[in-house]
Amino acid sequence: MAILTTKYTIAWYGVDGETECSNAPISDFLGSYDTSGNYQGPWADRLSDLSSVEIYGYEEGAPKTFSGMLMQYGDGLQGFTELKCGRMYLIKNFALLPVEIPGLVPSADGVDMGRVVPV
Amino acid sequence: MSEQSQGDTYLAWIGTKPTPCTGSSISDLDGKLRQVLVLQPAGGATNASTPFTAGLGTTFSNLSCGGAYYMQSVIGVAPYNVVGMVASSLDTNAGKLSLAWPESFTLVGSQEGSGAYKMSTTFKNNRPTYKNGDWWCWFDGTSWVISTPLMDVSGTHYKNNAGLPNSGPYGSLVVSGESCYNVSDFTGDVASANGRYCKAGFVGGRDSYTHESGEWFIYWGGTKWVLTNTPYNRNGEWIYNGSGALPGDFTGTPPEGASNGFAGQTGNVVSTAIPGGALYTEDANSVLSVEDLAAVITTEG
Repeated sequence: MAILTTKYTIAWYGVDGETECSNAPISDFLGSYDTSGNYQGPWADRLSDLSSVEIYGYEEGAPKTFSGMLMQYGDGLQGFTELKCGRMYLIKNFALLPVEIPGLVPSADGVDMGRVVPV
Repeated sequence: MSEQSQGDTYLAWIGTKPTPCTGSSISDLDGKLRQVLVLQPAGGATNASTPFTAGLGTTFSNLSCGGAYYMQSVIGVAPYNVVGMVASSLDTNAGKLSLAWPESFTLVGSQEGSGAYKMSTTFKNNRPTYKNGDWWCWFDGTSWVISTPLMDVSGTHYKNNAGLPNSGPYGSLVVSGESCYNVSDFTGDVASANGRYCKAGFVGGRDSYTHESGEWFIYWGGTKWVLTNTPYNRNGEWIYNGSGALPGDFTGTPPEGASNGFAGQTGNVVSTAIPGGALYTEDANSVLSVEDLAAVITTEG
């Protein structure tokens, strides 16, 4: 669980808990656009801020991106559309949209946030 | 899990449950790592280091346990290992994280500042912070504080005078379902294991507990409870407990039941939880006594 309160976040997705980790569609916490181009979600009054959100993951050294800017054009342009268990993400949130993401664990310089339990 | 680099650029976490984590020297990665970035606690910028500048001592020198990093390798370098690192790749599930600090907790009572505090992405004084609407919960170096509207003591604020966020009370607010233990009676080199532990995460299928210093941990080792200073394994100082549903006294004997530092010692464990059925004052701000009147917790005054 983390509420985004910073411009940058580097975080692990998936905590050891009473319930098994499940992948999280990004639309669950950012909302989505329907086929008519209408936004459905919690940030209807902050669409400009929503468009500045970017989430990065890396695979074989190359970035894949989810872009708030591209949300209105459908999922086809996105590098990924869900946060997967056991992966790390870099999140840019320059507008400080207070997005709440269950299962996300941030860390920063000087903080010991825990240990990975390998699968 | 991969201790091996994942291409030119990747994100990495330092520290796994089965192995002792001591951090990794950045200067040792000369010729392999081009640059590493770590977020500043306030999350508005990054600190950068390279093997060269780390060796000079002008930038941070270690990849620290429980930390997240953005790694850039030397272009074209062959895969390399970093001890204790979990390199993330989107095509691989590398595991789940056992938290050293609670994800959230709830303060109850009629005083302002009640409600659910959820972990934020801001850090302060080497600890996570928590958010509840316009209220923050943060560590001032000696005590946890709830404050509004800012993360300082310039406005309304209350302290819990404790080293753990989910150990009340803050003023008259108590932690809902508080799950903490006081450990005492250890001496010598392991005396620092004495003190308060509160529920933090989940290890081995049961709740785990973190000491107020952040240096000691209690976790379920599969058949017994373990107190350790190397989360979550028995590679440092450690001692076994019983196998009950909740931790009892720590009584292990080396080498099978404890490390040598705990030889001949017993750690007393007392739950600090407010008993179920406790009686509250009229305004619910204070606990008067438990239901059977066997114990008075606090007086109304």
